[in-house]
Amino acid sequence: MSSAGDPSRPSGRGAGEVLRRLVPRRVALTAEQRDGIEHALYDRADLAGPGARNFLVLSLLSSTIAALGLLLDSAPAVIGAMLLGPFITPLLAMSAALVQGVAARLWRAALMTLVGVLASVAAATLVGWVVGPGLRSEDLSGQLLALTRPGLLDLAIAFAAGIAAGFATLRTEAGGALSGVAVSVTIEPPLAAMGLFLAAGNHVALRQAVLAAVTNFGALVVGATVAMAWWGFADRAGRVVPGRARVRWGVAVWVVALAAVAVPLAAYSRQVVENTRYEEEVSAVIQEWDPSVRIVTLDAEIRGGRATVKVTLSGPRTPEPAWRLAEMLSERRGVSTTVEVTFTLATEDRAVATP
Amino acid sequence: MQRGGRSGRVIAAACLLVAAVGCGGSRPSSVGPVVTVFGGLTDEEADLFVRSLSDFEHDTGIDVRYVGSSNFESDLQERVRRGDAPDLALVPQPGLVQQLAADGYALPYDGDLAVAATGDIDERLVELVSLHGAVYASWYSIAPKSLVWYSPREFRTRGLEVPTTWDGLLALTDEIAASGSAPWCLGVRDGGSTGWVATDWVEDLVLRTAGPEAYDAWVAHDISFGDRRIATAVEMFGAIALNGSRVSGGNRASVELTVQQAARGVVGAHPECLLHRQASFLPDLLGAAGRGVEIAPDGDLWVFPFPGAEGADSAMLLGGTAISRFTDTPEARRLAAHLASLDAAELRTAQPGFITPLRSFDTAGYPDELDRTIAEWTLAAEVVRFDASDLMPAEVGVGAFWQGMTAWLSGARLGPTLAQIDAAWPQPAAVPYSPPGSQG
Repeated sequence: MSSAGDPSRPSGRGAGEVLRRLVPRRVALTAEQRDGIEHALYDRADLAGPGARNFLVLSLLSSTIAALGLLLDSAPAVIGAMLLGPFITPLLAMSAALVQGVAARLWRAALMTLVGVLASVAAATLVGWVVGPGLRSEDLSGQLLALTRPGLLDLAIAFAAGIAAGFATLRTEAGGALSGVAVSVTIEPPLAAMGLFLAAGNHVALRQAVLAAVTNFGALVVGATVAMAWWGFADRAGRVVPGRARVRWGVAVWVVALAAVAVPLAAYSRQVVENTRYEEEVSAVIQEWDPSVRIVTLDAEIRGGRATVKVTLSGPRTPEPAWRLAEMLSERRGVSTTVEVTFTLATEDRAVATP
Repeated sequence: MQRGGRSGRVIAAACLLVAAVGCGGSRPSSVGPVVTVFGGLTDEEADLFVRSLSDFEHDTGIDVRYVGSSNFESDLQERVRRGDAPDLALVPQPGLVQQLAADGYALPYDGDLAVAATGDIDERLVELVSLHGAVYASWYSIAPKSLVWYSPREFRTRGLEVPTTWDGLLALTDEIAASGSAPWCLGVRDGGSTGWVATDWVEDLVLRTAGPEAYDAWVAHDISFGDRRIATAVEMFGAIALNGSRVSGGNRASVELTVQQAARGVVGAHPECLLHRQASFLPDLLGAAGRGVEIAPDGDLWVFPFPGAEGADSAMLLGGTAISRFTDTPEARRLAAHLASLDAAELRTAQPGFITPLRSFDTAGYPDELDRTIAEWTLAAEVVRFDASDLMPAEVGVGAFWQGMTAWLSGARLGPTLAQIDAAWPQPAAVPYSPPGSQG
C-alpha cells in the first residue's frame, strides 16, 4: 500500500521541513543582544572587573573539591566541583574575542584563565601535600584516572562542550548553566590531578594531566569559537577593530596546533581501544586457563609485538601456574607475553566468643 | 642461588604473585618442528635469550618457544611430575639437575651431546651436573657473585678508597656511616625465592673465613649449620645486616625491600647507599633505573671483588645456568648442542650481562668492559666454588636455608634458626639408588 496519501506520516518534503526547523538557524543578533552578551562575558572575564574575586574563589574551591573527590574516589564530589567550575566565562570570552577579532579582550580573558588555572593547581597541590603525599597513578580509580589521560575521544568531548557552551551563550533559552557543567567536565579533573601529581612528584602522571588540560582548553575554545561564529556572534556592523588580523592568525595557529595534537591523541585512542579488546580476550583466556579464579583487577596492554598482562585474582585454591597462562596468551596472539599474577586465597573465617 | 634479572615480583601477606613470560616469536602458529624451553629468565633477559636464537631458528627451521617463570624451580618439578616436561630447561641449580636425574626425569647428555657438554667446560662444573658417571646438563652461563657494587663518581667526590680486605670493608662501612650516609643497601624479598641474597652473603663469608675445604664439607653436610664456623659467618653478615647504622632503612629494612629495590639504591643522582653486594647480573635488576647509568670504572656504577682476610686466597662464588634435557627428539638434541657451542656463546656475549663458562672463549671477546673484567677476575681467582644453596638438596638449599636466613633477619634467634635448617636436611635413602631402567 502506498503511503503517499497517508496523512499520519510525513512526506519527504515534510521531513526536510522538520529537519530545517530542528537545526538552529544562523541569525543576526540585535545590537542589544550583542551588547548584553558582550557585557556578560567581557566584563566578567577581566581580572580588573567585578567578577574576578568570585572567579578566583570558585577556582580555588572547585579544584579543592575535585582533588578531594579524586583522592576519595567520590564521583559525587567531583561532579560537585564541576558544578562550581568557573572557567566557562573566560573561555567563552576568549572565543567571543576571537570571533570579533578584539585582541585586547582576548588577552584579558586569557590572562584570567591562566590565573584561574594557577589558582586551581595551587589549591589541588595543597590538598595533595596535606592529604595525599606519595600519590601514584594507580591510587586513583580507573574511571577518574581516565579523565586525566588525554585521548581523541576526550578531545571530541571538549570540542562538543565548547560548541554547546557557545550555542547556549547566544541562545540563553538553551540552558547556559548546564553548558558550564559540560565545560567543567573537561577542565576540573585534569587541573585537580595536575596539583595532586605535582604534590606527589609523579612527573609522568603530571605530564599526562597537563596534556589533558591543555588539549581540552584548546578544544573548548575552538569549539565555542566555531559555534559563536556559526550562530551569528561575529560583528557585522563593519566596525574596524584594531588587531583583528593578528587574532585571525591566532585562530589559524590554534586550529593547526590542535590538529597536530589530535594525531598522537588518535593513535593513543586507537591503542586504548585495542587494549580494551585485548583485555576482553585475556579475560576469556583466564577463564579457560583456570575456571576457579575470579578476576579482581586486570590491566592488559599489547603493543609492538609484545603484550603485558597484570592480573589480580581471587579463588578458593591456588590457581594454575602463571607460565601456562603466558604460554596460552602468547600462542593465541603470536607475541611475546609477560604475565604477572597476584593471587589472594578467598577464605572465610568467622568466629564468635561469649563470656 | 643464581638469579638473573627477575623483576616485578612482589609478595605480600596472603598474596601470591608470580611472573611469567611466553615467547612464541611473531608467528601465531608454527610451520616447522617446535622445541619448548622452560626457564627462570623473564623480562629483558628472556628477550636476549630468545633473540640470540633467531639465527639458529632461521638456519634450522626449528621454532624455539621459550616460557619463563619466576617460580621456575617449583613449576619445573610440577611439570615433570605430571608428564608435561618441556624439551629443555634452563636450570640454575645443579642440585635440582641431579635430583631430576635421580628421579629419572632428566635425560643424560650422550653421544655427541656428551662431547658438547664436557669438552670445553671446567671438570668441576661438569661434576656438579653429573650422576653415576653420566652428565645430565650442559653449562650455558655462569654468574660470578663475589662482587660489591659502588659508584666511582660518589667515591671520588667523598675521597673514599676501594677496600681489599674484610677489615678494610668494615672500616669503609663505618667511614660512610660516620658521614651520615647509609653504607649498604640490602633487600632479600624475591617472591617465592625470598632469602637467596642473604644466603649468598653467608656463603661468601663461609668461603672466606672457614676456607674451601670447610665450605665443601658444609655443602655435603659433613659439617652442620650449627658448626661454629658457619655460625661465625652468619654473625659476620649480621654485623652489617642487623646494624641499623650500616644498612639503608635500618636493621629490618632488608626483609621489607625487594632484591630489585635494594639494587636500585646504589644508583641515581642521590643514591640511598654506597655499597651493594650482588652478582654480575645486577644491571639487569635495575630496570628503568638503569637507563642512563654509566657503568664504567670511573662512571656511575662499577664493581670490586668481595674482599677476604688479609693475605687470604682470592675467592669467587659462582652461580650459573645449566641446560637439562627431558625429550630426545632430533630437534631438541640439535638445540641442546647449539646452546653448548662456542657459536651460541659468541652470539649471546655480543649483548652485555652474559659470561660464558666455555674455556676456549677468549675474554677479549667480551665487547662489554664489565663482563670482560668480571670474567677475568673469575679466571684469576685462586678459589672458585659454586653457590652452596644451589648444590644442597632442594629442601635445604632453596627451602629451609632461604627461609631461615629471612627469619633471622626478621628477628629470629640464630641458634634455633640454624638448628631448624639442619633439621630440614633429608635423611639418607634407605634403599640404594638404582638408575632408571636398571631394574628388572
